[in-house]
Amino acid sequence: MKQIASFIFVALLLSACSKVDDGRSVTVYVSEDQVFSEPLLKAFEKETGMHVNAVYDSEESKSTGVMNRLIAEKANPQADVYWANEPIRAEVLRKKGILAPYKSPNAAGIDAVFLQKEHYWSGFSARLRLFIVSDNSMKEPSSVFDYANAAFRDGAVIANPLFGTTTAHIAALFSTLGDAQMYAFLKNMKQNGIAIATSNGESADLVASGKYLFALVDSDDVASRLKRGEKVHVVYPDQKAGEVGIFVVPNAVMLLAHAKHPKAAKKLIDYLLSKESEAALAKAACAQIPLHKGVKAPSFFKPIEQLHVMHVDYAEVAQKLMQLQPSLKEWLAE
Amino acid sequence: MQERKFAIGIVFIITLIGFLPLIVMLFHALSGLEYEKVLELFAKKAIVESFFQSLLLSAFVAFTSTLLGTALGLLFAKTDFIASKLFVSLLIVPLLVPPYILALGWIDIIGVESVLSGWLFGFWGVAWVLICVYLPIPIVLSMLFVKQIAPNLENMAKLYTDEWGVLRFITLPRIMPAFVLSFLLLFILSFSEYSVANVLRFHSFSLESFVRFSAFYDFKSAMLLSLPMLLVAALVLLIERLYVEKNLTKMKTPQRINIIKLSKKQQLFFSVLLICFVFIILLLPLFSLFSHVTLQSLALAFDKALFPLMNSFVYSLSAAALLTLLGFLSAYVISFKFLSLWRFFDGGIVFLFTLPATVLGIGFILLYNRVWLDFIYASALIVILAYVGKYLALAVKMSEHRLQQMPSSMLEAAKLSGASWFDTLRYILIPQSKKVLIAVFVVSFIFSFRESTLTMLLYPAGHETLSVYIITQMANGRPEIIAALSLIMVLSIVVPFFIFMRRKVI
Repeated sequence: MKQIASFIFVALLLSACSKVDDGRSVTVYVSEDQVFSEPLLKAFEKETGMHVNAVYDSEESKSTGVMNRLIAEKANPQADVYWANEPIRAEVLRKKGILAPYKSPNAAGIDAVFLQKEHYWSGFSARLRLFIVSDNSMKEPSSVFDYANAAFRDGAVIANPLFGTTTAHIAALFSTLGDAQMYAFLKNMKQNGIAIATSNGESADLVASGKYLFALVDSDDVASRLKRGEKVHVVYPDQKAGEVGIFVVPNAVMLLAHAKHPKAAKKLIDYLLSKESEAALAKAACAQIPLHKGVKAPSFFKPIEQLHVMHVDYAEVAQKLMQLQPSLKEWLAE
Repeated sequence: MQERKFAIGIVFIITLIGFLPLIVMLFHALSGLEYEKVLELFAKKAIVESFFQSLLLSAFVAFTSTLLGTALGLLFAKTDFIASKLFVSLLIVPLLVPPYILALGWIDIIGVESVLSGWLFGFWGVAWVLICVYLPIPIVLSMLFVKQIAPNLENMAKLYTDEWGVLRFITLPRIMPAFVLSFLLLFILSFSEYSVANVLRFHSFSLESFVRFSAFYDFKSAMLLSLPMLLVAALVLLIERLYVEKNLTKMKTPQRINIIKLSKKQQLFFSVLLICFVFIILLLPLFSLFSHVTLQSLALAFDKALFPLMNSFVYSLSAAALLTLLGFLSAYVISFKFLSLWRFFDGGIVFLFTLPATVLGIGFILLYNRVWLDFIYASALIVILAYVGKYLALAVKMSEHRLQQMPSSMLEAAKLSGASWFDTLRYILIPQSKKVLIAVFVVSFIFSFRESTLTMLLYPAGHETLSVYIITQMANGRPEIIAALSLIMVLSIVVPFFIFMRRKVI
């Protein structure tokens, strides 16, 4: 028992001292997948000699675990920087007063649509919401509204609209086109025999296996299937004049209010917003689209300047998303 | 008087570690509550449906596992079956492995688009994985209870009936409390488990609460939805107190019991049956998952996961040491009834174990995330304390079992010789419980090591554990690396367990 008591004393003492807080460290909460974000953070450590303490999110928590942790820690924030994999969460946090403004010099050159007006968050390296289409399909969808097109009856699949980028995409369409048009579209979509998958990845697999003709997914889901040599190809939705445009989901990086290491935090934000970081994320398996002009896009996709992008106010999208959740849940249960 | 002060001190420590986070969480959930909103939330069809689905799933898993586990427990403890020890060791492994790893193994076997996928991704798939995971509990419980039955009782019965008659009319009724205890324990564990339901996409009630938390950014609803889970846990605990405790005779040291002799044919039949059974529930999913592992991927996974692995060992060993100490001292307070409220103390500790980890995790954040408590919240201490709060019941129950077996004559002799309560504790109870204390340490280490939900919510930045690392790697990580990490995880738990088992500690 004596040994156990001494072991406990030493272990607890060491545990209490385990927090690295030397001014040369920065704490970041990350919603981007660890396999893609960790190498970039390691590169930052190597380049600056600073230590990065990270908390990563999981697929299990639908990538919102760390955001909820930030909300819970509002009174005593532990993180200095939050790297979200989409800007909706950034807006939720901004409205809750959890963020502090910071205008990074490296954000210059990124289209204003991807930057929060008061500099509470900055977008970088994006995913595109596009169609993965089976090579066996005789018809090509061209608009998200083809989900309700009788020509594709029982042939399309979409990820659960309660989670992730699919929810954000639907909310963006609601905020752009209005409730009446979108509720009618959702109803028609259901009547057209649309299948619901649990995730974008599963939707992409269902199309790759030939079970469905097309699915609206994220660009990284398409890139991985193309790398594997699956019989699929890409279609950019709503690209004609007068159409709504392609929905772009940038990563968003932000400074936390009352961050304990504000200098180091700003350094990390500058690093993530740099052209070099965007190039690294474009080359990585996630194949993200750089938002700085002139940075080479992944080989599977067109660069951002060649696309007709949906112009949305991400703050409005966030607001809409909160309002829509209950009705989307009901729509799903119908 | 002194022992009373000591008991109050122990209760105070456990309150800080376990009860207070729960009280703070409940306070937050219930403060400023709007009656209409609560009604609206609980009137939703999807919520009511998921609640009843979860009740059905838990009842099915609890009943099937208990039935099967009790039958196996009887075979291992009551007959001269030659391979009992080997099969008990193998059948315990699924409980040691994090449940989601078994679920991943089954996804690997069946796939997401095969004919059987519809079966796997839903009620039956979740039920199957949970039955495999929880089966060791009724096996061990029934073996323990069988070894409590006095042989002379069975010998007397033998005058009137044969061995199978004795089994039916004496043995089975005597182990009924084990059956009920196992059913209640598995019911509550299945009801609060959500990692398997999440991986296999089953709409369980615990997942519904989690969705409110994660998808709806709605703390209040998530906490409100955890209230029915608290009620179910409380109800189960009440039944346990009313029925099991009343029917549970004081546990004694396992004794020599009458053994039923199996014929050669029966030995062969049970051996073949169990080989097939172990192959299906354990070897098939694990081999299928680990078949992706190459030496290269194992080396790479080890290189990546070295720090998380070290963290896992440090946190789990620290938590195990603390659990051993506090578990034994709490059991001492409960067994010797130093406080009039000992029943509440005992019930509260068990209640913490039955709580969904998310509920306890939120409670820990709400209570400990304060500037002046940063030495706890922003360090590994928060994870260690959370493990202690969650798994204290295991340590207490194991220690209690040993303390109840202690001959009262020994304690009376100590008292007559003028030994104080502390001397009795130090020179009699602790030395006499050495073996149990090591067993408590090992069991606490295993449960802490495999824990992921609480850790995910609480781990300080840069201090992730192996189980958390595996979960975060699941998002777009390479399958061979995830399989290699899972193999490291399984070996880290199973190897120490079997070393201690060979040394007959467990």
